[in-house]
Amino acid sequence: MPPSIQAHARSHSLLLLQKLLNLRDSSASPLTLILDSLEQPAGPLLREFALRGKFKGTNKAPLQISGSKTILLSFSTIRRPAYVDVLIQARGKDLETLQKLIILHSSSAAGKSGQQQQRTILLLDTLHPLLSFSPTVIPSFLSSILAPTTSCIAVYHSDIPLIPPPSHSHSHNQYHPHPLTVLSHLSTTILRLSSLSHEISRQHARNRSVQDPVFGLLEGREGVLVGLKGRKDDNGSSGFILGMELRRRSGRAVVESFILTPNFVKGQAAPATTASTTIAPSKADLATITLLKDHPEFTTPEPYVPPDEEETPESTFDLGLTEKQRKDREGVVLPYFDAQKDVGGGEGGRILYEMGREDDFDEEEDEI
Amino acid sequence: MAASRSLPPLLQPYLSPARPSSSPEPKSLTLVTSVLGASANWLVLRYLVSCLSAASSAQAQPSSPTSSEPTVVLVSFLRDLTFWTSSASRLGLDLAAAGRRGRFVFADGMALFAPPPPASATPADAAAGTGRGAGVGPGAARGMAPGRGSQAAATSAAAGTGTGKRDPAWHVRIPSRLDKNPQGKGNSRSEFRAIATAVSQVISKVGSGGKLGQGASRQDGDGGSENIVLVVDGLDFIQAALEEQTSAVEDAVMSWRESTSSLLLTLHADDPLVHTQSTSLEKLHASLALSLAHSADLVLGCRTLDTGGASDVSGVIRITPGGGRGWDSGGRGKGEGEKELLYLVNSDGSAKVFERGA
Repeated sequence: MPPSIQAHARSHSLLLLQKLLNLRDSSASPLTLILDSLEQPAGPLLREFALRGKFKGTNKAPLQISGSKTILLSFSTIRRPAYVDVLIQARGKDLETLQKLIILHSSSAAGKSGQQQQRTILLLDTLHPLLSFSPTVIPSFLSSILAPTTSCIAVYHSDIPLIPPPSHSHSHNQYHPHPLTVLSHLSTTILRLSSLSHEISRQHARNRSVQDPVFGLLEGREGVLVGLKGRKDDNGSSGFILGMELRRRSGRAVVESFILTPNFVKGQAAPATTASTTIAPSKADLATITLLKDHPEFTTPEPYVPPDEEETPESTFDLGLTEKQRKDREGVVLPYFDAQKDVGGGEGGRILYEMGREDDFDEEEDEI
Repeated sequence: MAASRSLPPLLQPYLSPARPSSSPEPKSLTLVTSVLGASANWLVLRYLVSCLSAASSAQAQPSSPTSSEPTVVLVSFLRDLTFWTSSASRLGLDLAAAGRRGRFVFADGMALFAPPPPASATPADAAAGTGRGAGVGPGAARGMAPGRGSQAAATSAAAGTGTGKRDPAWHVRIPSRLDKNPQGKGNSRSEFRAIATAVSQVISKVGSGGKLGQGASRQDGDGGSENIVLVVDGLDFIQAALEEQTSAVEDAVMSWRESTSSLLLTLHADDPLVHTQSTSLEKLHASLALSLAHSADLVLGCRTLDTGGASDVSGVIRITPGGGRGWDSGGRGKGEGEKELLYLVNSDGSAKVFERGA
């Protein structure tokens, strides 16, 4: 691929992800599904979504949109995290109550800002309680809370087994597809998270054609739930890998892998309890995004090209030719070209042969 | 690196109740997992010691613990008070004294499945409190393994209400399921909810300043709930016994977290419980363990040595941040906040924790 096309594809992918993370317009992704695991939890990514929601739209955007309102529907989060405006405790509430609460909060956001549309970002920190409670109702629940100005980001922990409700309950039918299947069909973007350091060690193993290392639950060690990240902090990178599958409206899916490195310098300085109100987020807090392909560990090595035949060997002499010398050389007529010219039309090659002393001439076979 | 009876220095940054204010984790959740060959009791005991040792050193004011000192509520579903007191006394910690000072409350979950034995079987408690805590069951059932002696259940169910020795005030019983329906049948969902509420009641009673020993008259409201350390041992057993949905258990854990300053849970993480995931019981356990690991701030996993037994190593403890840590503190960087250490628990109860190769 020529370098210019490569660069174009790179910036195109990065822009797509930025658009997705910023969630500025409704077309970006109404329903984003995050698949995470214990090896790489989705917390930093959710924080990034909430943080980016705090920014006003850039001047380039056609519609000036104020910062979004971020609602966290919490099943397992106890403290209101930074940059989240509203924390709805979903525990022990039924779907109708949740739906009312969400619509209440998101519509108040829309009304407050008057004519300006205010976007609502709805974060769900885990889908498991909802899915194990009433797996078949979830699609309609999600579509009921999705207003045109709302973007929903839901986290599904892929390593937790999903237990269907008891079979006698009406809400469950064993012939229904797995809720995750339904969700991945519904969602407009799927983000798969994995740990950067794990992926690097996997890549190392692949480069040496050995078996991939496994981490956490897959380690096969009894009693291990969470894997280690490894102590060698070369680069000190704290990022994680984001596998994006963005379904465009045309039906085309864009698949790309990124490295997202959150910037936690400021977040660490302030205590978590007051962070959401006191910290004014700045652009410097945003995570840096790079393509996975650009990471030094993941760049595909250049294929080995054998050195060119015409390449001049290194020497103290000047072995090159000037333009005049080249023209002169092309002008030289070699002796045998004359002989070839003499051959008549269509006769092909002739054997030029001079009889030796010991050869005897046979008229039937030989002709000159 | 001498074997110590208190919290080993290497574990102090993770488990010390007095954490530096720069890394506050209010309402934190710590998950301690164990396997059959590597029990985590020593860790829980040391956690208790580290929480209560501040009080032991400052015994000047027995009835008014300062607000900085935590009150420990230990909810035990698998082990009785005798186990905890005797193990703690080997570490030099007197749980009964701490309980009398209002710093320690033991919520006994052992009576849940065991029928109350005759009152004579009750081990003598030294101090009889004046009041009884929330949800005091009839008689005593300590020392009984769950389910054992169920034949004797029906007759002795009513025994012990008036004649038996009263529990000390800091010893609270979670009401037995046999109280309500002697056949032991019933809606497990409501039963679990009853257990969860019983624990919440204990927490709220402790938190409201009404020391269990001094009656509920003292209503300081000094925000004491901020300084309750809750330790729940064997929650997975309750889930398995009642076949409760994971989401309900998680809800209970969340509500406990809301009213305590930190919560430490012990779970079993043996392979058949976490990896097999074929029967519903295994799935329930796996989903509980993994869900809690996802919402925990810290996961401490005890396991046996990978290379087999050794005389000078009892097991490996792996310390990793859980999934709940990611939002505020930057998640897990490369090797950040994680550690794998070896430990040795001696037969006299002392333990030491050391790095590999040390």
